[in-house]
Amino acid sequence: MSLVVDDHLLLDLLLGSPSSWLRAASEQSAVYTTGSWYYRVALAANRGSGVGAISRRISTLDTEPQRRVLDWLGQLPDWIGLLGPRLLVPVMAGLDTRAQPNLLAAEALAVALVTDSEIAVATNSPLLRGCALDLGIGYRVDSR
Amino acid sequence: MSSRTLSPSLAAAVERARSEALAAGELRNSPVEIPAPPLTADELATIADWRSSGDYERIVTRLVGEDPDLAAQ
Repeated sequence: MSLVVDDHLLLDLLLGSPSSWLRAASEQSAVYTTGSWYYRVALAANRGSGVGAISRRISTLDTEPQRRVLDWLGQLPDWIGLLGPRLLVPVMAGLDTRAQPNLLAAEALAVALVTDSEIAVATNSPLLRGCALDLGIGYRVDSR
Repeated sequence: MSSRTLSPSLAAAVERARSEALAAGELRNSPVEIPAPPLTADELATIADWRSSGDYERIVTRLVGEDPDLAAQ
């Protein structure tokens, strides 16, 4: 069974520092994320201005390292699977769950169904968990 | 297909999407070998700190406030 990871676990994988569970799981299966979670990472990197922002943190780096860090965060590597809306929207629109998932949750559920994956997140989402349960999708919180 | 119980229409949509993804080479069966990031130790430490310090979460919380579709709840 494959994995669909959220933005936090995606960052951990990209950094090469996943939890022991995520490392072991990824060594046994393909890993996917969603456009929404990938978008959160890229948007946070690009729009993270102000207190606590990455722009402040990397300001201590020279210009070239700053550019490389932002480029790296904004470009998903090939080894992370990503399915597009042409494939996913018909599945997202047909999800039959007790609660109505929002865009982010619907995309994660659709990717999990199409790729026969378990969903792994760093922070529990009752909405996503409930919808996953309704659809028979595995759901795991990996908070390290 | 797994042992999941889906409505007939949803199961059909999933099968169509799976077939198209397979034909497009977008389904992966191989485990992941996590490559070393192409960044320096200082660069990696900056991003790791961004993630582990809670700064990333705070930025996402603000972005979610602007766009509820990005919320996990």
